[in-house]
Amino acid sequence: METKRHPFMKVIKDVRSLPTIPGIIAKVLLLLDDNKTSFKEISRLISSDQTLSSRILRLANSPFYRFPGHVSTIPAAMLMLGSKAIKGLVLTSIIFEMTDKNSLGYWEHSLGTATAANIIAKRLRVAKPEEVSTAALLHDIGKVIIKSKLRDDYEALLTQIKEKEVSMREAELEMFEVDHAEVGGWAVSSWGLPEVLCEPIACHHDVEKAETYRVEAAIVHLADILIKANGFGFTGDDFVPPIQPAAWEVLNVNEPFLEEITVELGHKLIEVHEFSQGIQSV
Amino acid sequence: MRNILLASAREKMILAKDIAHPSGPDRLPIYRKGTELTEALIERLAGMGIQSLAVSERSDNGEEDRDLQERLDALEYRFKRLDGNQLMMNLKGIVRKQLIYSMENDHGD
Repeated sequence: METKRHPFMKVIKDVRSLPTIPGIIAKVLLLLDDNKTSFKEISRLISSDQTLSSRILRLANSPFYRFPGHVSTIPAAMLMLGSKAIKGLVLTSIIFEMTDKNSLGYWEHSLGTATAANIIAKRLRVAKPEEVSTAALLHDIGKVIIKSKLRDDYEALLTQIKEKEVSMREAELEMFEVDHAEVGGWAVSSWGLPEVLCEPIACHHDVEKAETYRVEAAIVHLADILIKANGFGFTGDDFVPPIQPAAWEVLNVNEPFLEEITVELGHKLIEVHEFSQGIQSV
Repeated sequence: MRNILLASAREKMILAKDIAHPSGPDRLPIYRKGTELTEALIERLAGMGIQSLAVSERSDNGEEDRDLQERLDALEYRFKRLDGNQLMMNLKGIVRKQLIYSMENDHGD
């Protein structure tokens, strides 16, 4: 059944219609890849762009990373977050350009999922929780890409979701035989994001598919579900997907754990709501 | 009702839930639901270390009850396709409990 999938991926992968990455961002991404480049050089380059640096600092101080105190400089943000998470934030600044002014629901869902992922990752003592939250922040980028490249099809997707009462993923698979997770994973990988971020994005609806970063993919999967369960934000459909057995197994958690996370999340989501209302103005 | 940070609290907003002193031994309410916020009251709350609070634009209870019922109905809708999944039904129960608790302490467990 290549008939639907092939033309869809052809449009998605057409570089001419990929969102343009501004020169400064392309350069920062290249430097972040180069092991010989010092933190100082990258910091200087990021700091030279006021919009980029203010967005990174705003995100570094957001409720989902939960750092004590205020991160006020780019070098401090780089030290606290690490280059992989910074790379995710640089790409997040591209999504700001891609989403329209009415995307509060998308931001709330993404920021909420990043917050839930951070809470889960810290409780499970994952080595780098900031990387998991950054993957969670970007997990639905495939939806933004589908919307920006295929406006008419996106409208048809929304109609199908409403009429058939299906999830966005089900409608995507029905219409394109590809879902937003695969599109997002492909896009961030082609933009040079490290595998620790790409795989959880690509596998957040199919945790079993994750080979290297299954725990991270399972955390993003569970965080996404908890945010949908709370009805926080909106990304196309209302339905809560089931927790996959593969995710439950690899995380090795139980229902009291879910309750603790839900209670902690309830307090944090007030902050996230306020934060996301201001985020697009940066 | 909505939960807001104290930094976003403004005069004339109405407290949607009682506020207890955060370090008081008995957690008895010191400001009652329905109280209208003033600058002086906001400053006092800040001085007590209160960081967030629940406010409503209107003070009538009927409005709040409808708000809670709407949220509970929306929760049922979000989980409607998961009826046979015990884990997900339990998660719905957890979220429901938290939702009721956060909106109306006296409706909680």
